[in-house]
Amino acid sequence: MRRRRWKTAVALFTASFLLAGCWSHKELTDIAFVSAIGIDRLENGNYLLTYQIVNSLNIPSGMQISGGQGPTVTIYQTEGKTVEDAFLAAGREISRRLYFSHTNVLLIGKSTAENGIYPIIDIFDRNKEFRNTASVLIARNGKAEDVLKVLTPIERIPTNRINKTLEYAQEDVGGRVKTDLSDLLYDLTTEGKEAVVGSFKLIGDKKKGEMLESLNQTELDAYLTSGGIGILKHGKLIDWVGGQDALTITWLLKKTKMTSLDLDWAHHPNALGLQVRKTIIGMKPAMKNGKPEMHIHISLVGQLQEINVPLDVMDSKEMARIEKAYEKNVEQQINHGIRHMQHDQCDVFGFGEMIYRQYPKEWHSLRHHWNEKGFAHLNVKVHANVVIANSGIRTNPFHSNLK
Amino acid sequence: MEKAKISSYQLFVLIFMFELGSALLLGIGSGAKQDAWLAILSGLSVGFFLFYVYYKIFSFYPGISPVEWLRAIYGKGIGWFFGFAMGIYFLYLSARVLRDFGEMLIISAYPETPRFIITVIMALCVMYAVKKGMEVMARTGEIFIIFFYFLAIASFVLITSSGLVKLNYLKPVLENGPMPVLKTMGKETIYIPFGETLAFLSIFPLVDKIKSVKVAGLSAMWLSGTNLAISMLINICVLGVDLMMRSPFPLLATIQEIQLAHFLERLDVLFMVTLIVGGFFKVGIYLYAACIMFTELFHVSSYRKTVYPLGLIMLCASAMIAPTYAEHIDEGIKVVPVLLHLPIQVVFPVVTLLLILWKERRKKKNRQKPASA
Repeated sequence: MRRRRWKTAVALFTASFLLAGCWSHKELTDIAFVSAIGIDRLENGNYLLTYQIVNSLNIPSGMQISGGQGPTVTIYQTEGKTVEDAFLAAGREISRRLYFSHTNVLLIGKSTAENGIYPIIDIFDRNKEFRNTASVLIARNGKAEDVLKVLTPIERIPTNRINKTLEYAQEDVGGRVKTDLSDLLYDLTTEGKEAVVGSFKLIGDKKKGEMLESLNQTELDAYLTSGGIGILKHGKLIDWVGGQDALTITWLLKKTKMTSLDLDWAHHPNALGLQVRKTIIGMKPAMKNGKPEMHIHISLVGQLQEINVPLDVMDSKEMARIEKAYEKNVEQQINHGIRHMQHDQCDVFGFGEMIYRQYPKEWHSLRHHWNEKGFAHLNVKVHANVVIANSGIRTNPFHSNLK
Repeated sequence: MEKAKISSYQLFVLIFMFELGSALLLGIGSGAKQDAWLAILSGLSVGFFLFYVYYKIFSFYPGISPVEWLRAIYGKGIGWFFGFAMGIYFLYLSARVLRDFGEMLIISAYPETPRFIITVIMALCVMYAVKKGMEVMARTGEIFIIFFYFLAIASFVLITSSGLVKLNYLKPVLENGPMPVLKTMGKETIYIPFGETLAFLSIFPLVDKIKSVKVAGLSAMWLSGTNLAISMLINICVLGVDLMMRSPFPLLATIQEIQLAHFLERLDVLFMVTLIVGGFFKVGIYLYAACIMFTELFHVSSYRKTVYPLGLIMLCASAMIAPTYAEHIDEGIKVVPVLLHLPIQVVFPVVTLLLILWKERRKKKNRQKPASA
């Protein structure tokens, strides 16, 4: 009995060492949470890495109204021949160990992206800490470091602002994309599809934007805003797409659910505004005489949210005419966007991938130089269907009854 | 032989956990690209046949251990040799599975911990459980299968509701005809995990109702096979073929993609726990099978005496079989199936069964002869 008690005691004692799990323990005070990484290629070919590190003491938590004094993030920068090399240099500079599990923005400088992103991506894909759900974007005007240095109001952590802005813009407005690392790698490795990345830009005075005082005013000296879509071909940034063509891209990538569309009506420019509530997109490749074709069917359901001309909303014939006009508009718009990409010879819509999945045998002969020979001359048929479900909480606009 | 009794449901649970063990972790059949799930299902159909062969052999010699019936069929010397080969084979595979899980933990969770420490902890657990006997293992299985299914269903719901599943990643189905699928099946999915039920020949004699072995075994294989195919299907639909093939542990990569409502994310640790549970049963059952074989071969009084020595060999072997992860996996995919799995899981049992059937027929004839004379 006594011996058994001893045995149990020894077993429990040894187990305590195993269960504590402190083999490679890292205290919270020993690690620096990196919220964003910026990569810029310098003139001499080295990479300059900018780490935006969360200053956790200065973030208010829970019901606490104000956090500590000082900015919520701190910037560190290191330089190296490769990304790995720059990480090493960070070890010499920063008192804490960089911790990448909470990094959710990977910002790439414009000129770096133009030179190609292939040499800088793998380390993030392979790293155990770094998550592939982090979004990859390009600093639209200039350097990644400038964007990361700016403090933001409302959202305490600037990366939250970047991610949330892109996410809502992508879904509710269109024309902006939030590409995460796994999407990007999928696009880079899939035949017949090229990658798109979102962008962010700094507006205003970048020196002032770094100061905490700049947040103590309603009109900011410097702020961040989302930019258009960057088009990557073979890992190199070749074009920026904004405006209506960007909306076409997010529509066809099935990323946008809602948006607003204007229409000229009764000789008034932009007289009608339609708020799209539901977007359904069907895309189907077809083979005609051995040549591929794309059939795109887009169906939009929405409500009128602005009517600036006299109009009888209850007249279903009139409404059908408006729907027809919208359909024509949308078709034109999508055709324009596709032509833009065909001009760039860059299949960001993944038409090639769809053809491959539908017609794998035919794809075999199409895959070589698909962008230049296939996609650039691809026949795309667009058909739109617009339904105006209602006109909000009023029927006819006051314009109809003006005295 | 151990004097234990397990019910047919417990056998079902054990086979189920054993099959999922490392197959779920390693993402088998990835050689067939987007048709990996088809390779698994076709492996399952051959697996049914193999299981039936094992069951048939057992049904001629119910209640006695493999070593005994090997002696009865092949005679003392050759039977002993075959038994010894099977014992070594089971022990080697237990070491391989242990290594798989050690590597998984190092690569995805504990980069700074030596692999040996991790495998020691896991092996100690397994040895303890094996020493307690098959009844204890089976009851553990009954508890864990509930836990296992709870997490499996939770992960399924989380993945589908995060909108990660893109079914068109599965297309084109059978891009290059059925050959790549059949090739992957022949090289990989028949043996891992379906043919591996060979280890259960040492456990069949413990089941209380002999007839229920067939039903329990086949249904466990069906369930685990379809579950494996579904998990592979989801891996492909979430990751796409390229990332699925570039991930050493596709299921973990899939789980890492979950990002629901901005707070349910980074759940991989939870699922690592589930995978380890499967690994525990797989290592345990292989070790148990090896112990039973060696106990009978060397006339040890109780199999319990062999557990720690053999466990120690397993532990050391798991460290020594390959210096690097790449070599370990390379051997597991290219060498082991052809040199070990094919002869031991397929050729040997089929030949044995044919031999038994031939002997039985001769016996019948001999019996009939005196009657007619």
